[in-house]
Amino acid sequence: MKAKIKSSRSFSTIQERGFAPVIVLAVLFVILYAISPDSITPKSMSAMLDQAAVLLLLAAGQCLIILMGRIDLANAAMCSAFTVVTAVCLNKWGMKSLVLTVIVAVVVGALQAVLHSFFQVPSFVITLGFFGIAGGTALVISEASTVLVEEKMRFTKPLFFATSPLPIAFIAALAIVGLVGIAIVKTPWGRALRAVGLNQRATTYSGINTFLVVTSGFILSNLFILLGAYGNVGQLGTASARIADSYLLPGIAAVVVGGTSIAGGIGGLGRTIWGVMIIALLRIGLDIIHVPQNVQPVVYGLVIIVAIAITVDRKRVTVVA
Amino acid sequence: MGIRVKVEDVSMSFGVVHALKGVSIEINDGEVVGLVGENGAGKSTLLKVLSGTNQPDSGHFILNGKKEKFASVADATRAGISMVYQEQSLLPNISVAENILLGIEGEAIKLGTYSPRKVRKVAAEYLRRVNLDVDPRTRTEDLSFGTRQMIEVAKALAVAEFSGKPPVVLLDEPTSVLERKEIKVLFDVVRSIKKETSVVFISHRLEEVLEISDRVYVMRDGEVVSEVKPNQVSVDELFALMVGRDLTQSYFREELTNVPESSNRLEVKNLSGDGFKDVSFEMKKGEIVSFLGLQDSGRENLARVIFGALPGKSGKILLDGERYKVKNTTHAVKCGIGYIPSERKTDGVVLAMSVAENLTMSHPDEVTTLRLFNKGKMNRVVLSWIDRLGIKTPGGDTPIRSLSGGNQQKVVLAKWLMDENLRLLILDTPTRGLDVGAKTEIYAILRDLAAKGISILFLADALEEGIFMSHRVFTMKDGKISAEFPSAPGARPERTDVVERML
Repeated sequence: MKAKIKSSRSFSTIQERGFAPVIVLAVLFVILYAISPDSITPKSMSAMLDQAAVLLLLAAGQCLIILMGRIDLANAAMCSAFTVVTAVCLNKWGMKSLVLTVIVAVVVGALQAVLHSFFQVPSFVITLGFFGIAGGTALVISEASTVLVEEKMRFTKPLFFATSPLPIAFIAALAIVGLVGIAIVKTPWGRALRAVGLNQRATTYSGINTFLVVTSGFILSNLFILLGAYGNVGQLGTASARIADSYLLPGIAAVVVGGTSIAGGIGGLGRTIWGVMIIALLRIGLDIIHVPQNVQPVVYGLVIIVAIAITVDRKRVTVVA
Repeated sequence: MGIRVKVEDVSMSFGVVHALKGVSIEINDGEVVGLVGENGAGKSTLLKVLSGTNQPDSGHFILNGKKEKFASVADATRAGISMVYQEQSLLPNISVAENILLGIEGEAIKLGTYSPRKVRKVAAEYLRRVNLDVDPRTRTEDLSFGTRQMIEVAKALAVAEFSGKPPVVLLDEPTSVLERKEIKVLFDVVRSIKKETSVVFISHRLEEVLEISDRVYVMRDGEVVSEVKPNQVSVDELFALMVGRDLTQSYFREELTNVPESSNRLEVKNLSGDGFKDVSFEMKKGEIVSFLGLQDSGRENLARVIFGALPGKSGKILLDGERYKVKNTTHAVKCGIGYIPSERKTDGVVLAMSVAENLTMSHPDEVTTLRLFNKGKMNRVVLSWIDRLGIKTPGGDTPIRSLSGGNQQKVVLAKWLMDENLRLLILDTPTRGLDVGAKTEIYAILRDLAAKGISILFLADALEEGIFMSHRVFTMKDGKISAEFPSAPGARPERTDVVERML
């Protein structure tokens, strides 16, 4: 009995300090190498990370929302919509019109936060609504077909199609996510974001404007999603209304596997980076052992359930506001 | 009058902590026994041993002349002992009658079928005995907290009497969440049942213990250090026995009383809001003003409106002579106003964060350089406050969850004290649930703040606290100020006068 308590304690310290995902990543890596040493080369790893750049940006957006004790079900669908908007803008007005896409992302984020705060509707309801709105809007704008980007985005070209052996796109995404990650740890704003996720009332009573904090979180999240959309356009050169929808599950999975509490307040973008690498490696692993594409969402679903079941703090009652 | 239960030489330890060290007490027939002591003195452990929840390492009970040991709660209830818990144990979604007789339906179950009518009849009898005019069919969750507490007492009576033995009811801090009026009802009930029932009563409010008990045991560090009769000691003397120091200062630290400055800090004119109407009052710089009132008196919302946590409807507030139109809590904090909510654990602190994070929550600028947290600054500031307020914590990185209530509350205080421009501190029952040692420390801090010119709007938890801590007392009733009393050491308002204006 005593030994059991001790082991679960040391597990929880690993968990609290955020080491668990690093260990999982290492184990996964070793397993993959054991199954198929040929598939683990610097080149394949670099390609894998570039493939994971969009996932990283979407997971980072999701992570901000989850840190605030909320959830964004529109995350991936919004990325599809932003991808279509970006493609159409580029085709019609060229690079300068990217300003328009930024405005769209800010407005969407602010609108979500305002609806959520003023009408006190749970975030999953609001974002479920936006999931539908995003999907429909994307269909209308794209006229339900694939939009070819005539002139591939010049600035994303060096990111995705450079001859460098380094995963440039991933590194660029990493730099942006890392910067915000540091802000979450080191600034009063970041601490307020986590405090809102832990106890919004106590945060308000401390004189923090929690409405502004929540709004900033939603806007920043949508800006991350927009960056993900740029990544899509740059990488694929096309846009369609469902192009990024399949990212929802792996995005949430990356956040929780990385060790951010689904109940909010605990975790951060650093952990999410590890989570994204785990999911990316898992994806390769599934390909290697010939799990069909159609079955892979089953795996992500299970990963989310298992990761939350292992790590959830059962002393805290509410899970998502 | 015979001895109902005798506890002899009971000891119990949790790991290295000796919670009880050779404790012996007697509970007589028809007697209310008070049990006082600081947190950790062993009161609750003693009750848990008596109720069979915990088993002592050594020692025994003597019941009806026989040595006994309880292996479980069931053993204790068979001996006629039952407990009313701090946290209520009633099921919300069933009727009052079902709750009272839950598990002791007895004759109400015949041939395996349950007679709701019979249950209602028996339950009604117990409701009558605790002077409750409640239909036994009422769903429990539809009743007020105070009423549910009384039903708890009825249930404890029922459980104790089901044994067929003379009942003993243990009350573990039943008053900490009750309003003054409800406490009076509870005490009336205790007095009326004590003819046939022995009662053991724990409370952190010493005045209450002295009021209701026939005999008081004082516990300290797991031992019974003295046994007193209420008519032979004062609150101050009882307090001195509990903390075990020779006290040169009083419980309410009246020797630190200051004289407020002549200029006004806060002027509230015809303020109305949700639950209160047309409230006007003024506060001097360095003045402690206490507000007393029942649950629906409106005093809590008045405080929240001044802090910007609730919108006001009409009226005017002046802060240091200037118009203060509060928009939200952020604005209030910028104006030098601090607020301590009454629910410390849910509203006062962020339990999952550290002492340092909680302490610097409202004024993070004190510990940042170029808007980034500066570890060195953070440590210096946090440690200096830990030191100044005597907060017992291993360090700033300790999760605040692991601190005692009193120390958590000191962190919440420090959060506001670190603001050099603090002008007004609003406290909603800041001593609720704290032990007496922590309470006096908080009182001393408040007096000290007042002496520095900070005005304190104090929603007192107990009548004595409100009267003795303040320069002026306001009573509120039905959302309006019903009376104002000046208050000074040696010239305190009469408690009966104050209560009269609250009810």
